[in-house]
Amino acid sequence: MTKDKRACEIIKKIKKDQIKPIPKWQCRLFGILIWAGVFFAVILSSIFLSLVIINLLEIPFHIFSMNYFGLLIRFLPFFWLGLIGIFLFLGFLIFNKTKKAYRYRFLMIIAILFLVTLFFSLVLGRLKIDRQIRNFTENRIPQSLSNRPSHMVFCKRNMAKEGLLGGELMDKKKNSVLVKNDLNENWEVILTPETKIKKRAQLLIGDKLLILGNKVGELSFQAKVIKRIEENKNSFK
Amino acid sequence: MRKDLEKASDESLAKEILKDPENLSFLIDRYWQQLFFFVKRISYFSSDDTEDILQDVFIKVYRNINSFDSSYKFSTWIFQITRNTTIDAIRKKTSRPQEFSLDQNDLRQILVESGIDIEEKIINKEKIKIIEKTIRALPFKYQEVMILKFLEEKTYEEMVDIIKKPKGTVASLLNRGKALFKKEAFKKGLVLED
Repeated sequence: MTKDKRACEIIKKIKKDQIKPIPKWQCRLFGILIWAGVFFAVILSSIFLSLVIINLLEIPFHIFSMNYFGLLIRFLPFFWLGLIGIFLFLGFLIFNKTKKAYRYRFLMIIAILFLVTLFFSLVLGRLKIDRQIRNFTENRIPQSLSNRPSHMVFCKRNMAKEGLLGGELMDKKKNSVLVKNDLNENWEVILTPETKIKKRAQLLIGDKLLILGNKVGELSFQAKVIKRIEENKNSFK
Repeated sequence: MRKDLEKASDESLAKEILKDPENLSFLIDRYWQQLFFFVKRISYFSSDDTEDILQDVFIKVYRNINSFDSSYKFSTWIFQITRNTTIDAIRKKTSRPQEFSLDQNDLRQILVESGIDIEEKIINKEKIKIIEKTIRALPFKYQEVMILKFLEEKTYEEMVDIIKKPKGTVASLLNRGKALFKKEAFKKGLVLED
């Protein structure tokens, strides 16, 4: 069959089957939807990463008596980490649907997505939106799944031997304070001139505290650092 | 008008096709032969099957002409569509009769580019058969890049866009394909020294 005849046949088929080009707006909309999907996945990953970062920042790594990696593993917010993984992977899958995704290698795409995620999560942190999100999620997601594993563990376990005490400020004296942990133990926390009080100089009755220091007696603890936890009161329950 | 369109660039021809599908004939005229040989080279389909594939290709080109991205070369885009349509057809038509479609020049070109030196100016029939068998025995992914590079004379950038793989992957496919072909050619006595 000649080329001309073939061309005629193709054009005839196009006319007969009333084949029309896909409208431009439809092509554009498809592209926009794909990129919106990537953006959505990255934003969600960023939110979860900001929650991970805020949790990690509250881990008192400066307790030299504890193993750094052990502590890290123990307090890692695995739920949020899992969600980051899921949404980054989703972002990768959607990104692969973009027109020129094939030009980039798998690792490069993941690295770029992660860097963009990190950037947005830092922006969220800078704008303090991460705290608002955390407060919002605290009452809506089971604690066992997500929020503040560090503080939960601090307060629900007696870690005084390991140099860590968490609980509620019950009473204040000149050189000591009384702290009740979630095990209903009343601890006398001794304050020395070297004791640093972070976040707020003034401690108020009812404040949730994290105290780093040494156990000096049965229910007695000498404080090196006292950190007031700014959070929804319910998070300790 | 007709002469203008004959000389027009692919991109402006694409705009004219949108106005009138009849103008598709200029595009068909321009690319038919090139794509015909490309399809035959990568698929080993008969001429009739190849023509059917090309009919699908040009209908797809017409349907998707609005999605053509001008950051690509038009020829790359049309090769991309042809390649995808051919692969779909290969999947569907594996049981259909196939014929080898690389001529002596094609074979010689592949041999030279793969670093295999054949002394004879005209390769005898027996050797042609061996070379054909060797090429056909290569996995499709290697055959495809070798044909694009050596016979269609595409650049790496064009190959990346046609087969939709990163540049590094394309380069390594080509190198591995060449090495594998050389190895097989050596085994079959086409090359005396590796």
